[in-house]
Amino acid sequence: MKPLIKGPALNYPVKVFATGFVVLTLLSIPLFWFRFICQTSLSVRMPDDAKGVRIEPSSLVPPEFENDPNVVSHSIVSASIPEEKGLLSLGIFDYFFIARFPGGRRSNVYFFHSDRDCMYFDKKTGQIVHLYTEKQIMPDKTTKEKIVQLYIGPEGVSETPASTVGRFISPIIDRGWIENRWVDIRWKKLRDLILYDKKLRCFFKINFNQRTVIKGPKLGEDYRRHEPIQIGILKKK
Amino acid sequence: MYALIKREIQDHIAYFIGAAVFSVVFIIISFSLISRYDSRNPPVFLIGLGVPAATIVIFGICAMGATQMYLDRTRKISALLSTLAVSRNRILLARIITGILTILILLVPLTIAAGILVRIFTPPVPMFTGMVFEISITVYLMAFACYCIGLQTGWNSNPLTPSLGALFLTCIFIPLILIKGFGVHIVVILVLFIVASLLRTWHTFMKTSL
Repeated sequence: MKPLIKGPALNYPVKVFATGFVVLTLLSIPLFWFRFICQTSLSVRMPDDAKGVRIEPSSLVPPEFENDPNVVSHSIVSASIPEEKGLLSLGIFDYFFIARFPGGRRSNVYFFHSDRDCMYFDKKTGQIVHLYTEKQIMPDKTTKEKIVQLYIGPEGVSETPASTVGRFISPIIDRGWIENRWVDIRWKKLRDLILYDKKLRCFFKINFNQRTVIKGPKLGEDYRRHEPIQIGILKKK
Repeated sequence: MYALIKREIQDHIAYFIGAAVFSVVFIIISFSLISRYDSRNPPVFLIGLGVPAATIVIFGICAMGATQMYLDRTRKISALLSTLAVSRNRILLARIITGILTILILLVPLTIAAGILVRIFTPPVPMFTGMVFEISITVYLMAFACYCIGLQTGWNSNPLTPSLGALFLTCIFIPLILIKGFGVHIVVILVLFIVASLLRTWHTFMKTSL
């Protein structure tokens, strides 16, 4: 049998690089913990006054405006050290409690309150599934809860899983819509949801009350450099 | 090759039995934990049982690699086998395949059980889609990386170095999961670490005079 690895793999420099990588990996882990402890300790012990700075007037505005006696409030520049996330900054906690949690950057579930109140992107069908309960007033003036189940695709909205509504491929939705959803439900009128599909390169406006989807024009090839990554309040760095 | 693997399995049968037993233990713990789970009154006993069991398994995998190499070094097994027209490449390859088999015996039933549990007990919302795969692949690679640490520390005639060295390095290495979590980043690091470790082991094994 011929040797499985010969020549370069058995060279001394290869062993040196392999050993170097192993040592580097093993050494970087305790160094990480050392940095983590120092950073957390510094953040905890640092007085609150030292965590931020506020300059007023900022001296960025021309003096003729800044010194104008009619100025109600002067320009301000402020900066502060962001709150230390502590253990949540570690990868494993980020994975379970932020990234993979409903609404997280790596989750297809946009929100999940119960089996009857949730919204998620079903990769298999390519549709966004939205479940919520609606209170119905019956003829005898009693109220009854009705579970609404909507399947949303680029071509429309359906109450049953149907291929006629088409398929989304890589949708991103307006996160602000989820935050305002409670207010909308109280007023019994969900506002329109804006959605962008990275692969279809189109914006969509979903009207839950009329059960319609309005498709925007396709982004041209010239706009490849300007790919939307988030809709609503920007949270990515 | 088959004979070499068979001999390795026979020499380290305790690890195979241990892997099968721990696999069953973990499956029972997982089923009990999920079926009895109550957020107000979590089954602390089962969680408490799982943590030391996982620790024993990790050190066990590492110990297997260290034992394989240490026994070879002290008992001159590969020196003997080399006289029987068996190449050293094959000896090491059979050893590594045995290590992989142990890891598979331990983790494959557990992965299947995890997949079944996710299907049975989670709501029909794709909340855990991809998580079982990501966590499993990371755990497989981490287990193999620990085995590789054992292989590297085991090639020593002093009995203290393989045992304490492997224990110390595993303690340092395991928290990498805490730091990086699960996903592509840790997979890349682990794959590179495994490749570097195997190259180093291979080089050391091939160049050492028997």
